[in-house]
Amino acid sequence: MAPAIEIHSEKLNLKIIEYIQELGSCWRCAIRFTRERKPEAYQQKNLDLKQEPEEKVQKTSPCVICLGLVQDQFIKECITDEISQRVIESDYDSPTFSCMVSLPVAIMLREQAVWFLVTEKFPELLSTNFKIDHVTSLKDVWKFVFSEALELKLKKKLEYSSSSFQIQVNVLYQDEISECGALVDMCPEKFKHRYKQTRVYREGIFTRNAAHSVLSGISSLNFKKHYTLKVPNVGTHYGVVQCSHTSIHIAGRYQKFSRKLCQTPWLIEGEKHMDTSIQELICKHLEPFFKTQSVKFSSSGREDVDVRTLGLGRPFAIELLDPHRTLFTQVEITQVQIIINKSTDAIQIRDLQLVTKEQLSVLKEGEEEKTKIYRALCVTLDGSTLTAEDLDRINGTTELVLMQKTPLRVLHRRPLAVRPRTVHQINATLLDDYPGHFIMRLKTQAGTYIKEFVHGDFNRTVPNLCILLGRPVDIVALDVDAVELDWPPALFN
Amino acid sequence: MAVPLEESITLSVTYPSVIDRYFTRRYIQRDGDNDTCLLYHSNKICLVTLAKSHAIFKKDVAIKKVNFKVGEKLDRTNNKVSGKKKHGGQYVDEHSILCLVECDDDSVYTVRAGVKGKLVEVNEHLIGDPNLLLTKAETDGYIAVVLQKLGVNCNMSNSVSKEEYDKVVDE
Repeated sequence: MAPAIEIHSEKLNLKIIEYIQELGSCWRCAIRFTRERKPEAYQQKNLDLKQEPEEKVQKTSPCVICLGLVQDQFIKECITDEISQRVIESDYDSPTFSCMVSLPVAIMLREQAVWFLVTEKFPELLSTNFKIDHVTSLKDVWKFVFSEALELKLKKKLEYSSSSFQIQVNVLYQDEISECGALVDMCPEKFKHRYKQTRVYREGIFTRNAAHSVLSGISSLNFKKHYTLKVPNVGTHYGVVQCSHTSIHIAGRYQKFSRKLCQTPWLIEGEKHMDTSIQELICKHLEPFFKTQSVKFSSSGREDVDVRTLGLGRPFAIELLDPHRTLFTQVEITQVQIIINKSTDAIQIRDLQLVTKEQLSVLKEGEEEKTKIYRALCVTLDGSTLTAEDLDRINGTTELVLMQKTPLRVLHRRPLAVRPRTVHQINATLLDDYPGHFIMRLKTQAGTYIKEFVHGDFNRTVPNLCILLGRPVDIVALDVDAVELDWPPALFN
Repeated sequence: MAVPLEESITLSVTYPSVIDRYFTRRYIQRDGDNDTCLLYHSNKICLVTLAKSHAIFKKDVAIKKVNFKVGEKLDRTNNKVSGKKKHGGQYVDEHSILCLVECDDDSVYTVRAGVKGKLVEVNEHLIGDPNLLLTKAETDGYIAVVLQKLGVNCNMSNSVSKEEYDKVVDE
């Protein structure tokens, strides 16, 4: 929407600016109300602007709107040093940054007060569809004021729209709670139950959203009843500076060669049950490379501790939270892959690469929809060996639908249900030299419990291999031969 | 890098059974040889089965019916559970009756849970094929699945281990 106020004369703007300064505001906050958007206007004071009255310059109080935040006499340059120290210490390599400035809610009250005063003194403003939301935001002005110094000290470029690397600047005000009491008077129902909800509102009961909803509908009369613009006793001060970078996602495929390895750390009563896990073997090397301390591991399905995963391996993705290193090449990632593969025989990974957050849904699709290929080493329990007819009967099986009740071994943490699952193909061969043993290659629907298909799980999976072969059988070992998901893209390395 | 499947483990002539691998067998001996065998999984799931020393195996009878209606208003087949925690499952304790086994010589045996927890399911196969109890007591003929209370240490004080049981039974 075109800033309509600019249609008005420069003369009107100057009158507005003068009036607001007389109320006790600094020049920057005054020109915010003329909807001035150019950063330069806030960095260099325009000589046309009337100087603040003499007495105000001598014993200056904090600006009645910004509480000194962008006021020449009160600006704390040291904030840029503090920010740059924090960023440089944390060693973030992002070439850009953005600032999230969080302001005290009291400033919203003060802006509202000035807005009512200005629109009453200059009613012609309202006819130009001027709304309080059109006033240039104080957060933006803060950025205009400090961007040059920040860019210089951080050696990074400031992005006004959000960048992946965010610096959170917290502006605090000592008298916040007492001033915001006016909000409670304006709208008691909104706040009275918040006093009791100490956990939810532990950071303070006055949130910007609540204040916005109270102030946006309020009439000038009602507002003035509870709040009068006063010169503040203290200015703002800065709270802790926090930095964080958006997550990075790395994907790959892993093969598992150990029959004594779980996928993720297995804790029993807070203690690690096993020495390590697939997640730890991989992340142990990713964490120092990307300089992160927190990861989330996910994969396209999971195998049991005693099951190997062969073939191209199982797709996985790792979210690295708040990585300090974000500049890297595929060549460097491949080198980390080589290091991981050299560090252990239990797993090998491939196709390690950067992926986007949007691509992650492919993993779940793989878990729920894609077929899997297994090889199972089985044995008859009655001492018999399968005959050629037995093998023919089994190998002729296609599209066999099983009804699988939740296996007993996972029933403690999964709901009881019966799930239909299809075995698409079976190919069984005898294991020569080992009577009673045979190897079964199976192609099944995602989510099929293979072990339970073989031994029947107390006949809670039907049909099962015992029924098909007419004798008790059991599974000795299982391998996953293929997870048929073509992701992440194969890299030739 | 990967050895073939058949070389990736040590092959043998016999292997521990599914029950040996996942369950601990505990035995409760009662008056009248109304003995049951509880299969405790490490995950707190417990299967209730008839022990081989149960009176029913000493006779040469067939089972007419396995009746899960154990009270005027209590039918174990009405048990419905939902969610991971098995909400709605009937609470059972050691003495709760799971079913009545009616034989064709008109004798009736009351099978009690012997374990405290929530009833997850009863074996409905026993309704259509009650003699499963005789032929496959420890496997397909299990009677019920009970989920023990999580977070509470498993109390097996009312039962004995397989070693002790075998000693007594062999006498």
